[in-house]
Amino acid sequence: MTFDTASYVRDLYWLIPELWLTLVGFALLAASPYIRDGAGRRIAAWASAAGQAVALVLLFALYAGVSGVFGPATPEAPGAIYAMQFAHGRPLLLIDGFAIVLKAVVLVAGILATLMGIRLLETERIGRGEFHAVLVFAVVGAMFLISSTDFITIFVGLETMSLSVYLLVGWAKDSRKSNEAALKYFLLGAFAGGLLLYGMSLAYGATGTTNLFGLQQALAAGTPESGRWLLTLAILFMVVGCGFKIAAVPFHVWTPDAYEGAPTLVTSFMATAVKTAAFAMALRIFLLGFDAPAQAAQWTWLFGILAALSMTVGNVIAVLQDNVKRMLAYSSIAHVGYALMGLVAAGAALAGWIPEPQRSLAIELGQSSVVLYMVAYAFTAAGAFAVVILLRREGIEGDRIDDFSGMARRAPGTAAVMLVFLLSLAGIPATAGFIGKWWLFASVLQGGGYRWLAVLAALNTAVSLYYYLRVAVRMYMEIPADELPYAVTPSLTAAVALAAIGTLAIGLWPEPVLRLVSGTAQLLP
Amino acid sequence: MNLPILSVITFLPLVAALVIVFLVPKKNEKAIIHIATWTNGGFQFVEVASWIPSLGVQYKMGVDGVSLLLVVLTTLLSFISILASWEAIKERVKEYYVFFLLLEVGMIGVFSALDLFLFYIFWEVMLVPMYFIIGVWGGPRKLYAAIKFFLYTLFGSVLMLLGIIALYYFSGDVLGARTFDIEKLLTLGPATATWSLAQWVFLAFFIGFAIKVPMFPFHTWLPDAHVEAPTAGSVILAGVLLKMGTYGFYRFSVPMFPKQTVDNLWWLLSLCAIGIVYGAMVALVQKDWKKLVAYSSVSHLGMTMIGLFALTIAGIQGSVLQMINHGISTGALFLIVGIVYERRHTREISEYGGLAKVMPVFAIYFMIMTLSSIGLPTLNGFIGEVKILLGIAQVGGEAFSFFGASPYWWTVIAATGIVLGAAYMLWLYQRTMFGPVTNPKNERLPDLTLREKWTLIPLVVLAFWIGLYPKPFFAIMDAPIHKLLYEQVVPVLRQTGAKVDLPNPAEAPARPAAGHAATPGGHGAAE
Repeated sequence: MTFDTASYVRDLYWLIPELWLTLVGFALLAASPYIRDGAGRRIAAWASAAGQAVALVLLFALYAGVSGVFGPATPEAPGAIYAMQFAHGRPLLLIDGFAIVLKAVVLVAGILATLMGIRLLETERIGRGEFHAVLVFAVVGAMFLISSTDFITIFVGLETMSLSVYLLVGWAKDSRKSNEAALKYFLLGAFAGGLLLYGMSLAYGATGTTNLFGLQQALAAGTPESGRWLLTLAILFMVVGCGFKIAAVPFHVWTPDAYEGAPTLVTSFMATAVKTAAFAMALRIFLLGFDAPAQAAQWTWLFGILAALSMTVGNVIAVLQDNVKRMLAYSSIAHVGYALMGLVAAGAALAGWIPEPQRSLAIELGQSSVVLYMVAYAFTAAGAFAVVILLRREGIEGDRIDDFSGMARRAPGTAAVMLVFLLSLAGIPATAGFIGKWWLFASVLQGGGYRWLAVLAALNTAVSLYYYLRVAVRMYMEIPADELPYAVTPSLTAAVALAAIGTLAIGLWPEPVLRLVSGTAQLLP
Repeated sequence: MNLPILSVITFLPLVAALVIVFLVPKKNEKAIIHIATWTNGGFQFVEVASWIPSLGVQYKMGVDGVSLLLVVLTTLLSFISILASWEAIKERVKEYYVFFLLLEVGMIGVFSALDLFLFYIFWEVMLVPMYFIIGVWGGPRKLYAAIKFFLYTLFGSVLMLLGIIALYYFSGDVLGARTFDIEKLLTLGPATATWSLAQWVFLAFFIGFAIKVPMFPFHTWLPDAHVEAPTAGSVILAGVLLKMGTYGFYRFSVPMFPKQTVDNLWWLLSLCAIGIVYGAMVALVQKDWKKLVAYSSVSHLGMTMIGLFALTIAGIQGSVLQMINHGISTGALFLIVGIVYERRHTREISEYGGLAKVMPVFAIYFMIMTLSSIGLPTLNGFIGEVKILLGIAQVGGEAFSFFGASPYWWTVIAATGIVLGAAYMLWLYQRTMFGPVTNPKNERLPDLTLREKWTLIPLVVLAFWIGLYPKPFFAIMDAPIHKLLYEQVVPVLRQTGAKVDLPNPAEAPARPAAGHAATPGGHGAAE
């Protein structure tokens, strides 16, 4: 292979947001020894948020000039704006609409987490400057993961993100809960990474390629009898690995503890950015790599069960929680179940259970509904966690549901906004959550034998409303629990406002987002 | 210094409420004039704007005669409810009126949306303010009642959502383009007759609407919600919210699924019949004044639904009129309970007795509304109930005979409800109003204030108007009902060979020029 400078530079050009963010991370890291006081830490946090915002601008600036929704197709990967290749000529990283939208989600989630946590880090006395550097590295890892279309790049992206997040979860090193959370998350996360890797190696054994496009071609060409079992095992291991990473039941056991123990801004980041990246990975692997009907039939079935279990178990256990972070953790498990419906719908179409006139549309809809749900959920969940942070004050943990008591009297605006987040989580109209759920329902209702999943999800929605309303009841119908003023800071207010605007804007005027998301549905050649 | 500011804050929403409530009926007066001279039964005042083109969702609003009546009822009852809340709501006033106005937006939206997506949004959004009105300003068990109300209705409406999406896909197969446009979806009747999913979608819509109506056995949220809600909330719940369910059946279930409606008639009618008798029986044994009125709603709504499912002109006319009547009389009865509750802070019937001596004016209003509720001639309830009985008596065919019994039994059961209704209402009146004043606390109760009178007067006037001269009301609803029956339902039933006695197409009356032509069907008999 000869070194082609022109293509090398072109590759870097499309990675400008990630490169810039890596620089920001290193700069924060380099500056951290010199940051000693609160003011310096605040500056570092704002700098980190600004750096991510610049990355967001760069991301859109890069693609703004491209024609069409997300640009012309390239021969290797139709629908992609740019495919980054290696010696064997198959894309390692794909810059397509799917990647752009989800990277933007991750960046927004990162910015929101950074902004909402500035005061929290001081209250918890864990505001060392490296924190923001590690968070930025997690964002970079997530962004790489979203673009990855090769097992090698997928694993590198996944581990970059995961290792950073393991650190962040245990950041409050004097807190037993935080330590426990980090340990559990790390052990199970590493285990899940191992399973995923094992699945990848089996797939490599069966097809001789680590590339998703290569895998696709190999499967389309037909597999020998001996490879079938290997592939089935590979799918099984990868479903389990992805199940751990997205926190689907029964691979969710680490989630409540990790979410509860982690500093709340990290919880928010995990629920939004990490989950989005993990879903992107699952969509890429299964919708791109294993899209042959025989394989799709296998994983669709598995994910159907995971979806049903996740939404039911998540919602039922959430009803019993008194800790709001735990409740939101179980609620996020339930939301994983909803979101998996989109993957299942697309899988059912790939498996050939939906006849041709509707088939390609069903695949697109299934895939874009997951993307839309990630967008909607990121704003909503981040907003809810930001309001939880508001309750964390000196001497008050502020993470019990009872701590919300009387919020409507003390801070009517915040209570109203929290109500919007709760209603959005429950999927009540005029919020982002409803639009997201609508598309998910629409995707499975098209046919393919998974309509029952929509019915189950509908019943679950009613269950979930119960525990979301428990918070609303505390806010609106009970007297204040304490007198200590809420931990309001400009940055936190900004985060809450941003999340609220996102939630309501998508709910009331969904057209722009729907257009954007429809443009992501060309991940499949 | 602070006081004026507070007052301004407190009463600004009220001013807004008055402005809205006064503006909306004004516009509708024009609507009434329009409709009186209008004969095609389609939608009027249609507004269309693009909203979410990539989903095929429009912002489309419009009314026909039936939804117009319901919109006017909504605005009237909202105005009255706000008037009735002046004294009752003493704390967190601002939030209260904000929620109330949001609620009104949702209710009017439901009746005037012509896009199914938009309809669903109004339908659900309305739950939130109602939840808070019950949960914050309600009685002792308000939290339980509020959450039960919200969960029940949400449970029904999410299933309906699935039905809506399925219908959306189906419209693409039939009409060529997927649409939420209600006007277009209303033409799907012939196609749904052979649709494999139709029964499921019909059931999804049924559960959504039946919980709202509420039909037996989905009624258990109603007594709790009605009893715990503040007076104004109860008035709106009974007067308007329940009509959203019956309106849903009228607007969607029957015209879009005529075949499924007839196929399922045996159990639909049975649920109505059980509701009529069961609701009345339970009302009979209530010790709580408000709960009695609440259970009477279950019975009356059963009556309304049985009229609709009769699928005759007279039955549907009676059903629609009874929606309005129930709003008037039960709304007024809840106001009346609220008036004594504000004075005594108890709703136990046994706490009262001989009130007619202490509050004579109050007793007159209460008597009128009691008689209206039990259907005494010259008052509104009579017209509606007679129409329904006429309508259900005209039916025939296998679909209407329950295990071979004569269809006339439906009339008999419905009539039983009226008899029982007279029993529980008159007994209530006797126990609370007549006899000696046994409880010393009742000896010095003040009679109605001017404001309280004015909350009741419009309803009394309407009750007499409908009772004495219902023609304008029938004129408004005639064209849409004929369109429903003779253009949307009957052709499909004829084509699919449904087991009901259908009117001869030659006998199908030409559409009446509203207000002028002789009224068709069983209509003349009621006047």
